[in-house]
Amino acid sequence: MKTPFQIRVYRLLLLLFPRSFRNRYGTQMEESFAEMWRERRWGGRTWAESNFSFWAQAVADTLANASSERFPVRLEDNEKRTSLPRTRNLMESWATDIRMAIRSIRRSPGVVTVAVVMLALGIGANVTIFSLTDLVTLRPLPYPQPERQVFVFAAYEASGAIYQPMSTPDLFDMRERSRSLDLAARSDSSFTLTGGDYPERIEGDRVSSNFFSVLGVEVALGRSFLREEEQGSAEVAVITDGLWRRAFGADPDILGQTIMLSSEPHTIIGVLPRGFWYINNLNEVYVPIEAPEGGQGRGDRYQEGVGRLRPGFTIRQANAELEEIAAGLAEEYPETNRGISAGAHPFADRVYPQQFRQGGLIALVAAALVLLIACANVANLMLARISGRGHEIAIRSALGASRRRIVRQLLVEAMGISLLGGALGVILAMYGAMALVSLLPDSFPRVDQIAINGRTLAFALVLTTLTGLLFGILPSLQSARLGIAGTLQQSRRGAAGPTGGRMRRVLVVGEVALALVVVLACALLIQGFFSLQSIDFGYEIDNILTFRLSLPDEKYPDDADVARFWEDLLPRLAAVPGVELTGGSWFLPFMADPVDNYEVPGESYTDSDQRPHASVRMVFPDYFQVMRIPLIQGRPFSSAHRLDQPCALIVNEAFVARHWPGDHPVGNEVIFGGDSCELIGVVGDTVEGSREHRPMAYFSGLQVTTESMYFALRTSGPPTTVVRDVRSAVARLDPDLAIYRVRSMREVVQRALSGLTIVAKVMPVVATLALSLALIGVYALMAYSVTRRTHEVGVRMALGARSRDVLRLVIRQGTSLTIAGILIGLVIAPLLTSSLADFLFEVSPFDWRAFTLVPIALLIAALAATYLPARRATRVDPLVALRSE
Amino acid sequence: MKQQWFHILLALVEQDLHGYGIQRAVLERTDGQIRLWPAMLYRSLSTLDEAGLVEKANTPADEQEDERRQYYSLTSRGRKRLEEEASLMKSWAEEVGTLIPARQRSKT
Repeated sequence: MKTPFQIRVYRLLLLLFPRSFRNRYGTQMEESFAEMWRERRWGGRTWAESNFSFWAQAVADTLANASSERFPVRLEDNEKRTSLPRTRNLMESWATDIRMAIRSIRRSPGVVTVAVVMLALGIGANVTIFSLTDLVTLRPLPYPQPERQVFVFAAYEASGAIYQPMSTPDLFDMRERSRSLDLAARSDSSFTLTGGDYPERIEGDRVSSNFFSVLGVEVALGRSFLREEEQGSAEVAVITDGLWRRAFGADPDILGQTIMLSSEPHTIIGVLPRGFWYINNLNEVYVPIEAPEGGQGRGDRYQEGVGRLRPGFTIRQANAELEEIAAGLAEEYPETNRGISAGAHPFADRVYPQQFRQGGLIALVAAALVLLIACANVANLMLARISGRGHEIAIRSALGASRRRIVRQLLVEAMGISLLGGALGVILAMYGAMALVSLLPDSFPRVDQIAINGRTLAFALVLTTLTGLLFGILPSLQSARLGIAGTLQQSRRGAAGPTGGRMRRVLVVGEVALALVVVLACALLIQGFFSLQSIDFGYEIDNILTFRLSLPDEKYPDDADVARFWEDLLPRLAAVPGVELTGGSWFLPFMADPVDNYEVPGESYTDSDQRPHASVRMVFPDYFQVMRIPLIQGRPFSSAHRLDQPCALIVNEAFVARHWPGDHPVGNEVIFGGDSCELIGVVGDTVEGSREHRPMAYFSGLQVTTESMYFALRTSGPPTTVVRDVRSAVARLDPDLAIYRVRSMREVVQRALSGLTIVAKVMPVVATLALSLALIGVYALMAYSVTRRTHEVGVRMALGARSRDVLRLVIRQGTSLTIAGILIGLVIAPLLTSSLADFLFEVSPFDWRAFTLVPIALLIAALAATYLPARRATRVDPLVALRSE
Repeated sequence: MKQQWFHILLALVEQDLHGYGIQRAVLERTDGQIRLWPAMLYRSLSTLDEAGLVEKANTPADEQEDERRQYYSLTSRGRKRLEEEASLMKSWAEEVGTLIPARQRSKT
């Protein structure tokens, strides 16, 4: 049976242990490891993350124990093993090693500078990308014990949909019944803040009274909400530090003051600490949740559950318990809760989009490969340097230095070079992090915290140490392997002998392979990026201004009020100079995607859960024209589709394909929420958030009303030029209203796709580094080999070889190494590129163009790098060459 | 005594176990708190073996097919050492009881 990959990797790790220990326990350890691998838990995390954490723990375990096994300091019987003189001796010899290392580094500043710069580039790239990855995947949230923070969601057993919102009564029941979790509820809200110079729309949340205590956050001023304030009658508010400073000039007497939120007075009872943060940076005010009386509204699911694991409970236990409670609720309230379960999920996973986290990991892997390439280059440099120092080493061994001692001294030297490279790398990373921040949108959670800090420095230090070991260990072992006699003999020819040569070639082949992998991944990502630029969204995104407008319940209590307001507003917006058409939708593409069940008469469903569901949007009549979504059949919404008229429905092609493929669907009946709706038209499919076209159902926003709408205005010029006039048009109709989330449609789309954009911008930098380092490696090896073969070339030329033959000889050697590297790279590459699928849109992760062009380009570049040293070989003067022996 | 040594000895009280079996037993007893990764596990076993607290045991008859599995058992010395450790821990626990009155503890 073939040994599995992970076992082979683990076997390499075990080489860190002394041979005797390995002989005794090696197989058993492998076996244990294999068992753990089989049983490793996914813990609700992605494949990459679980693997990363599994390997990180395995490596840490091996490193820690192997080093203590090799350098035992047994405290229990220290009098027996460690005696004072030995310690002093140890210290002294280390000091000597360090002194010698410094001396030797100073002796060859040129080589060392090249090595340091190469390492700095590799380490700098890694630290830069780590500063982002750390924030996105590893760094705890700004709450005490962030790993115990979870978010709680509903799960629909029939459709398999998870991470769904919950209803207030369900959450409150769970809060009472759960032993493993402290549970709070929150839901998005926004308010018009009046009383200042102009009305302003501010974002806020409605939260349960224990929301802040569940997060582990205490108010800086005043108090938090009380349980009895959850009934909705208490008009109190907690504001953020930002709003306090911005709107109230940090007034110390703020508590007890009244502010007008959507025309209702609220008493300020607390101010949150500076830097309080939840999900996004936009929220400025918190008001209590309105708990429905007597458990009403169990079917209205719009709350997000926020939980904190109580001491001693794990997320698994919490999940099991939530499932149990949900099952109990389903029995008690079958009409609203049947088939609906609940679960908890690590909070950090929710804060950053999956794409960012995956992108971060991919970039980190690519950067790690760059560092490996740099290490291979430096190892080659070191080999060359050591072979030049064969004499010195031989003399030291002749004078009684043990092999171990020589290896150690060379390692200390390597460590010194690595530390210099690390220091320079950290400096580079500071600039890198600044550049990275400039690529991220302002709304990116905690973007301000991407910087070189303690954690990134610690990472840099670990990386530097590993790097030093990695490039130091091969050359040192190599030098130690040669006996005194061998070294003295070989040093005369200034070469490290056949083994050294083979090792150098292997290193270069490895470099080329890794560079190919990185460049390939980059080429694919760039291809994906361009294919995204030209992707057919099904709508046009240029020259559209979008913003949101919400009507307060208090002032617009009925559907009729809301519909009347929209009807009044739409022509006024259309009259604004520069606005061509006025449309709007409940949610625009790449925003929320609410779905609903429906029934098609004639189709039978075994259970109410089995009903199909579709994305639902209320749109203003001209929405399709504004977005240039084609009407394929039937007619658009008109002013005839109003509140009191029979329900009209427009669906997209995907919807038609699901129920009436190849048929004329217009005129059919579809039942939504018990109401029968006539299908009056079919529009083209659109990209709403994912690549696949999902079935969509559109209603007229004047018939099925909602108090919050996103507007989309098609403008004749740049969208932002009309913002002022739009604002005043709204204010003329209702001076207490304010438009918010004002953006161009292009901005909306770009923001949604920024994960890919960032990866597409970062990867070329990483790939360029990888490519240049690998080419330097090829060049250096060939240059070195030409120098070493000067004598041989001289003999050949003296015997009549022409310079063309010599050129061919050298180039053939370089090419064969490059081709070997490319072939190996092509085998490894699919392992990495297959994880890119999410970023590539229409491009296959094994796109044949990238997989042919990149290797060819790499081969040509490597040929160029070989050509220069080869040319030099042809200029060898036979007389000089022969004399050089 | 190091925590992981204590737990390994404790895992071997009832029955002889192989490496991964010890790892499972400790994981279960500590509710997932202590996961002995292979290097930690076998270095501890090596130390305990040298100290004469555990020894290699014969593979039980029903497990013969997998000859890679080495079973370990507690020596009488190991059992004694474990008992000493336990009574020491017990005395510490009692000390907590006398230092912090019950009334005060129940509050936290």
